[in-house]
Amino acid sequence: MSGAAGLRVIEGDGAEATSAAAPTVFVRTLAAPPGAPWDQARSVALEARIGAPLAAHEVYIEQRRLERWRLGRPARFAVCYVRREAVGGEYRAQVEVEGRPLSITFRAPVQRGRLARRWGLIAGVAVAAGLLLTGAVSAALDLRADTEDQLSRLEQTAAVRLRQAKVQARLNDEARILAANGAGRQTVDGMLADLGWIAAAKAPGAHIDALHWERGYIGVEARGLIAPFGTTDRTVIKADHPLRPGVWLWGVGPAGSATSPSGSGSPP
Amino acid sequence: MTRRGRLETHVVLTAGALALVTGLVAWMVLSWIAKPADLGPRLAEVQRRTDAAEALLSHHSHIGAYPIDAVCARAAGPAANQLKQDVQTAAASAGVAVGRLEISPGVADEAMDGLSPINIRLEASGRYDQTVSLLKALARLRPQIFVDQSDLNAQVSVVALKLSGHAYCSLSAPL
Repeated sequence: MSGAAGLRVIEGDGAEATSAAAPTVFVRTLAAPPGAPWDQARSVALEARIGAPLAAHEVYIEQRRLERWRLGRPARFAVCYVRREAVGGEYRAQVEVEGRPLSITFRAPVQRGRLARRWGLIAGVAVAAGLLLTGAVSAALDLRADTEDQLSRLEQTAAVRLRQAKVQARLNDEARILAANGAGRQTVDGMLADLGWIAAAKAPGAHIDALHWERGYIGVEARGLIAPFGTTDRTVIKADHPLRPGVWLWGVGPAGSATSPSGSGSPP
Repeated sequence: MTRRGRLETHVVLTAGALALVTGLVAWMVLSWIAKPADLGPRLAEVQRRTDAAEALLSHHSHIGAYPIDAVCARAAGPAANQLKQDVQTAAASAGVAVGRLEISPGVADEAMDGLSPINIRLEASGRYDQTVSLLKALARLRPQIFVDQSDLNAQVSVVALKLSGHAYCSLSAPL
């Protein structure tokens, strides 16, 4: 610590300064070496106590930084003293240091403690409020993310459902159109089923030359007068006249067309 | 009440009002943060799609008579070419000799509202079991083949098959 100025005596501010009862304020300037702001303040406080004009328990000491802190630069402080017995619990003084006015408030240790507790309380409340705010914002952001997820799933479900409904509607429309045009009796599966029926129902010894299949009705060209089919679950009728000599045309109705054991019906 | 008491009451009331306003503002800000910006329009779109789906399903009761791909969902030209290749492949697999195969897009019929036909004409010959194998393969092809009429003529050792029919493609845009 270096650069300590000589001790100067300054009277209290305003009207009090002019009155005979105004406490006397001692001012000095101290320099602190480059360092962190709190280290500079601490070293100045120590030097101020050591260099106090009276015993430490007899004076109130206040210090003020005179220049803004800068990295790697020394700092200068104004250190003010006032006798404890000359002031009450708190005393405000207006002093002039290096031509600049400086407002100084001296406080008793009890008041300092109270002030520190107040500031501590304010700081605690601020920290609690900050934590609460941070937690609330975090929770709100989580809620937003959850809502986004749920909304996305909902959108996907709705889109899939609409697409399925459109497909179903299209299929139903097509099925109606096909059904209205008799496509149900035109499937290859239906034709195969009828061929299967013919193979199964064919009478022993029957000789089938040709088949004509159309929408579930079958025209059968068979040789001989004997019915080519043994079973009677379909309508089977014989043409009145042969197609060719010895070859007769038989009409077979769709599955389930037989109404009686001998059956009757009319192929298309 | 003393002056100090009134002052304390005033301070307490002011602090309470301030806390209330702060809480209200915080609640509004947090609600704003928690809600996606476009929540309303997106929910409205979901609602619209759901309503549209329900309306479609309520007006189109399930029929389910045909497979989902019974009618092709593309232009009839390319579908006809593909179907022709599929029929040739099926005939080759079944060992049936194809004498004539014509598969081409037909003219849309008003009665087939919205469906575009593909005309099919097939003449082939083979043993009866081979012919049945071919028919089974044709039954599995998509788009589904609908037979207008078919003739099977027994010849010396083979069966001659003549088949004419249609397949259909939907003119509506594919979904």
